Amino acid sequence: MLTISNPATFDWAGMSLADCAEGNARDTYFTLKLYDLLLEKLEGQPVMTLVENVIMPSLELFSDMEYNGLQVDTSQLDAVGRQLEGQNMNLEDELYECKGVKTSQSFTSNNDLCDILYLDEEGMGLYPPDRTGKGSPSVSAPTLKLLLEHIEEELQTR
Amino acid sequence: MFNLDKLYQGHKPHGDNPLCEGCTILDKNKSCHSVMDYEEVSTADTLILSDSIKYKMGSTQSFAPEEMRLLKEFYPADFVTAAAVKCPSVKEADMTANDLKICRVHLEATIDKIKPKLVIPCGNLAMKMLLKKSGITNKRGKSFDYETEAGHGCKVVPIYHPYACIKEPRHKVLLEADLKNAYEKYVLHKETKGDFKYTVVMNIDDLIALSDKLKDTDQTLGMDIETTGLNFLKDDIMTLSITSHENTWVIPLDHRESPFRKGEPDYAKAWTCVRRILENPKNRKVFHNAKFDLKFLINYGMHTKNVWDTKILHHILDENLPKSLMDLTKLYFASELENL
Repeated sequence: MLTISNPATFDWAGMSLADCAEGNARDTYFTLKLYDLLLEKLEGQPVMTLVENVIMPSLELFSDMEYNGLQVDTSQLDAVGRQLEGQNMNLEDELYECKGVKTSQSFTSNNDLCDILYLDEEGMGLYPPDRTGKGSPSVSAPTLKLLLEHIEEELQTR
Repeated sequence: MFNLDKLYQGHKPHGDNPLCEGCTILDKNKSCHSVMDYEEVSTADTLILSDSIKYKMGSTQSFAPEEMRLLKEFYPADFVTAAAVKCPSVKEADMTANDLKICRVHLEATIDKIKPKLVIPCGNLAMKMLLKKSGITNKRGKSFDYETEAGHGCKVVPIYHPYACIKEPRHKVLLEADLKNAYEKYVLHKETKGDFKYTVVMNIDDLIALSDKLKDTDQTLGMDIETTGLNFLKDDIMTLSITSHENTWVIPLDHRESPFRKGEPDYAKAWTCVRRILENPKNRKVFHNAKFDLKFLINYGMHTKNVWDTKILHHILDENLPKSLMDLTKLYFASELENL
């Protein structure tokens, strides 16, 4: 609710009707204004056909599913899980074949990844685009994304 | 080989400052300490605070040139800058609670000297120094009241650090909006009066009339519910609000002060009226985060037809921006809010 500054700790059940009504009314007022604005911005975009015919009608369906739950074929789910695990292992094997990557190193370890990408003399020897608060080269997802952009840029200019 | 460690052996903090006594940052090897960056600035309407002093080639500054360029590009008026922590390159992790407390004296002196109407701390450390609160992601763009011990009161609106926006360009939209909103609201005191008005329906005859009016309409309606909690199986719907482009109605349902709450004679009639409005397939019912509301309504046996969701629409427009109603209202309609 727009009128409540700290919703996580707010006593919703104890709220007076006057406050509740005002907050509730403000929320819908801005929701409708937002809808008009967004519709104007999205008007004529090809995605609107998908929004009108698939995304919005499926809201009722998804709410029903979340409310009632849905039956899951656990054996099929296990099979998909095994298949994804296999694909992951193949990708890891390919990475271990890269220059400077030791089999004792794990890609899920930040320290090992840091060694492989930046620090090991026999590793990839890349320049870290960013560092952590404590000063070591960062391997966070945004940094890796940035690193990939730098590499692509570099390859394009060569 | 030259030993760097020996370079700083026996290092004494420069410019012994009695206000800094007890601060552990002074024991660290810094190029300088206690830079009183506020001594030469004059009064200004807006003060933008950086995290700590930057020391480069013998000179100190609050923001790097690139960060300063970004602030000047987005802030529509003149401003002065200062650092929240007066030693160079200090990070949040370096500072103990006592260090923060000691350094706040300098910060208060900075604010008393500049006497701003609006203080904008950039990033978590600057916000923590000022407000004693952490969590810049949730608190950015909100307004807080602040008063120094000497009695100067001002508004504080924390924002992302410009460095974070250079690193993550998707944050630039938020930085620009936060700076603009803060300036318009607390320096210009600009306010746009919207056409917001609402009626609370407290009488069953009025509710029946409303239901008759809306049950066959093809007019798009904004809708929202307020609940006693987040669990759709256990918690109750206190009120339902419906907005057309002309008016807003609030229907009290299971609120303790409602004439239509469970146990009251008009309980069933009220829900029948609500059902007729919700199950009208001819008009769009627009919610924000519709699934939350729909699950509560299903628990009351209401199956809403022709639902639209502004949270999803906005995600389609720009998936990188925050999507809460509060964030989006501040982004697009900040001038209509009483406070940020």
